[in-house]
Amino acid sequence: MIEISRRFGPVAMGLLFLAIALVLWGETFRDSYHLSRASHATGPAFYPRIVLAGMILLSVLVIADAIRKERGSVKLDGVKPVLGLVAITIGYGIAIFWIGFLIASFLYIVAVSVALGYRRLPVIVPVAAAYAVAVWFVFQEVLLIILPASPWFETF
Amino acid sequence: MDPILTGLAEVATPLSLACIVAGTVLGVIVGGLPGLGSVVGITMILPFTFTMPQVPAVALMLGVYCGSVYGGSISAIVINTPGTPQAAATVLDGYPMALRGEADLAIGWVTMASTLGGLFSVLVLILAAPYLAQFSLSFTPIEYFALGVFALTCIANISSGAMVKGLLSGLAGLVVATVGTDPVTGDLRFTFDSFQLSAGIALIPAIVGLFALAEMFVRAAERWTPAAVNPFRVGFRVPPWREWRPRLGVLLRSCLLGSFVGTLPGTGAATAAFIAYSEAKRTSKNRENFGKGEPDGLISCESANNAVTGSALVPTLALGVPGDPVTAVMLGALIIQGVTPGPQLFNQEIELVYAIFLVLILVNLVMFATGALGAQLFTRVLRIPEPLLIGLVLVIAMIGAYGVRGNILDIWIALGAGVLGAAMRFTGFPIAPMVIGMVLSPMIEQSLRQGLLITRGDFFAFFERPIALVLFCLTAALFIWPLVRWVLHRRIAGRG
Repeated sequence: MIEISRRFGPVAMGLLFLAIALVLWGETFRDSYHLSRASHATGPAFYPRIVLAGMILLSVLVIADAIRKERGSVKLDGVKPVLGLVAITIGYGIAIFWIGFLIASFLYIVAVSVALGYRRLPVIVPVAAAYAVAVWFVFQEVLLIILPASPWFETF
Repeated sequence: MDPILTGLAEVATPLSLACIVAGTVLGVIVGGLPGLGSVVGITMILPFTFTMPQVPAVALMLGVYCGSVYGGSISAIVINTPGTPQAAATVLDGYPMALRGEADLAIGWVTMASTLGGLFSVLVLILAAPYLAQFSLSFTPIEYFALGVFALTCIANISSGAMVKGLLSGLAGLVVATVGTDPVTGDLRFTFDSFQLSAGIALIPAIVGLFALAEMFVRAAERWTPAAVNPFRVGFRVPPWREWRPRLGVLLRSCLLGSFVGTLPGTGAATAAFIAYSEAKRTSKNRENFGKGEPDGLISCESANNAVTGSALVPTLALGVPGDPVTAVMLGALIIQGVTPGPQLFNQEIELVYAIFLVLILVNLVMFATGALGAQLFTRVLRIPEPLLIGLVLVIAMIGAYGVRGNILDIWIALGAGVLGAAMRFTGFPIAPMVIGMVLSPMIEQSLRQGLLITRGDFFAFFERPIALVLFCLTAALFIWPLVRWVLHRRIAGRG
């Protein structure tokens, strides 16, 4: 089991928010943000800069607070299934546009169940098939929300 | 035609009635499944509402909302695990009652208390919302700016003892909403020359990611084991009137508390339930039985948490300011439907407002019937293996993200928001302020810039408006309070 410092998480999140705020702050100094200042009292960078200044300040406070208060280490239990699920979901996001919503959803439900420890295929396969078809039918045919289709079939 | 009759006619269509029943039943099921909760429930049904007319779409959402608040109590009683945080207090007396062999009676108490609490809150909504909307007609952009800042600070402040993290999360939400086109000048902001980002980051995919996807990612971390079969006789038994009569005071007090808490931004049904439970424990004649299966405990928390449902809609409908993540999601869905909550809603679309009132009344009645007839059935849903459930929920969540605009970018926004949301959950950053920030950002920005135009760039003139001044003072008090509390604790500890 992986063990990390307790302060790692809050510091990492604080740094992430700080980095985002600094990048966006720098972006507001591009020439395009100053064009409309001539005709408007407050330009497009006015409000974001106020908010970003607050974000920078609070990010620093969060990092300082975590370094000052958080002591010891924490065991990371269950990281693998989370990363596995995220990876499968990213794969699903890609697969929807390659093999269509219906086939991708069926495979996704089976993959998630198996990856997270429920492996009774006689239950999973019919449930995944029925659910994927039902959801596809309701959205595509009843609610008329066009879902991505596979390259092999006309409608799905 | 009379607006009430028009509203009634819109509710009385087969589609609207079907949505009320389907939404409520689905809400009870989602609420009963531990961990899913009201927000995930509403994000799951969002894609169904995109192509629906306004009233059925609202009916479906309100059904899921009210049903899920009630549904959490069933699993609290039967398996000693609250389905939603709102039902956490229900466990304290519900499960001991089930252990005594009275699970059916406990379900009877919570079903009746939930229904009465829900109906009470509809009454509060009907009475309070039009007055608040009328009052807010005198608001200028300066008052709206003060209100937006106050609402966001409230939500960040109540973020389970992590105020700085809550504020940071709220500000991040404000920034996310600035991506796209500047509402005043029309300039592009933070698009990094991407054409797809020029329309901004859509609210619904971000909410789907932050709540539904993040919740499923977090649940994957918990090792799954097959649920044990519950040994109780589950059903529905109506508590007799002689048991009810001495408890009407507890019911009324809890309904009032729940309705009041519901109107405050950032509090929600879980807070209302615990406040009402502790108040009932303090004042009840049966206080020594609390925690051992006392009906007073069940009545207090269940009537209070359902009394939040209607009153939480008061600021949402009257001012366009959501009080919690659930109403924020509903606000986003209403905007997609072409409805703009706020004072103009009560002037221009009063028929829709009456329809919402009627839908809420019907939802609460259907909720009673659902509990009475289906309690036994719903406990079977608890047996769905969690890994399978996660896959099923994620599929529908992805359609929710994709279906708003049919844009591939929204799938990636949802995924990115899901990973960010899970990371925030693991590191103790609250998600609700980020969502509320995203919803409130356009209002805060536009009212700030319009206010500065009114005052010719003088921000201090904002403090000359009485209502805005009161709201600014309340916001300042929220900032100062943690510091005061810390000093007081230090003094008390020093004396000790």
